[in-house]
Amino acid sequence: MRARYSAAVVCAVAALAAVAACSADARTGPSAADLPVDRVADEVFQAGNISLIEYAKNKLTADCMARNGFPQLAQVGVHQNPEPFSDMNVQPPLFAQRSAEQARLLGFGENEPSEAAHVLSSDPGFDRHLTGCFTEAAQTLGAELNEVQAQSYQLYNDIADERDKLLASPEETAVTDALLRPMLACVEGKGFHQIKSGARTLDTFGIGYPSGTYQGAEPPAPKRLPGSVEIVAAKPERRYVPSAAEARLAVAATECAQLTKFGSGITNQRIRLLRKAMGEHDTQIAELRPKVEKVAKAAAQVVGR
Amino acid sequence: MIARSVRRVAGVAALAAAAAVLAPVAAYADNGDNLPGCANGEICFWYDNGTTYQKQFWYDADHGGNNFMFYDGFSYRVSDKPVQDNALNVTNRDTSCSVRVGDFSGGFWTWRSFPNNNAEYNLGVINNRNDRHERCK
Repeated sequence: MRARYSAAVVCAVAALAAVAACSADARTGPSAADLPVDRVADEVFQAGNISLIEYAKNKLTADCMARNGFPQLAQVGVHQNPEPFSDMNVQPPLFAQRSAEQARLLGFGENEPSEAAHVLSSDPGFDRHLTGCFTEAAQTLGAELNEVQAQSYQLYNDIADERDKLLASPEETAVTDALLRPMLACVEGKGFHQIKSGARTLDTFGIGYPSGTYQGAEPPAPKRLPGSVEIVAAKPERRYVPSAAEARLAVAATECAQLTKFGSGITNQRIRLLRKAMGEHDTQIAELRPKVEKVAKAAAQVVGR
Repeated sequence: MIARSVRRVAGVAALAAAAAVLAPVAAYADNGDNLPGCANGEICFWYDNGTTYQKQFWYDADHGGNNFMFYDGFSYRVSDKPVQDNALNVTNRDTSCSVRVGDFSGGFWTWRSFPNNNAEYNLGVINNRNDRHERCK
């Protein structure tokens, strides 16, 4: 089961006293260019407040559905997304963060996290009440709820699109290539070669993508019987097992990323481009912030009930 | 967007088994909400702006090894269209969380995130480059 009581929940409780403590300056916030890398999700994309808002919406909806004869959402527990938008806190690629021993054990993969049980409806009655309960939740949290939620995700996706377009520009491709040259030469020096035709990239060397297997069976598909409301079973954590070849390549990639400083170089490029993309949305970010904070304040009251 | 992974090979066998199970069960096509195959509790990917080709998920998943379902109002079956690198839109009807959709390209993951508000969203820059989705992240 996912850890539900994350920093966002702590923030939610603290928000009872002061929502602003969980967010940037209430009027403008810090400039995106000045933000520490690990604060971008929270300060620019309001991750803590969005997590709180969605948790409150889920709680209100579950309570409302239970009152209307559908206790399943409450029974499985109210979920909270612990870290929305967390990839905006730019980190080096996994192979550049790991030790050689970790690379040997996990290749380019990660263990698959557990997933909590959740609800699946094939019941028109459930669906009808769910729509009504969403409306009721919006009335409690504020008329701006749906707009604020949609705009927050749109902002994240727009900035991600722009960052990726910048990364694909000829200027930035040259920067990437310059970082790749010593990295890939190092990997070749360890006996590995380009395995796919095309440009010399991590992809064509097979670096980065997990192609192994997970230990343990997938849960069975839900039955989806018409008229039923089903609890989709929780999924246990599964261990990732790389192939021997993937593990060997991952060790080489990890060692070369450290030797050539590829990890820090590529991360710095991505941070720079993310800041540039965010800079194009300063006005949008500033306009959205007080709207999110207003709904988060109502959400904090709900969570504290 | 990646070359087909080894998992796709394993997925073909699973797909054939799934097809044998799913093909005759026409009731799957409508879960009571008039949205073919996309019920509250599901994350649904769409091949295009129509509703004929759709694939629903209940958990985190790699897209390799999954094909769109075909539904023409009469029959409901596994199509020959892969989901990986081939989806235009997503609808998140998860009852708990947002979902993020990932493209693995050039050695890195890039993600787009979608709230569980029932709207159908275009995948933006990563449309037809989708490799994976993850819930509650």
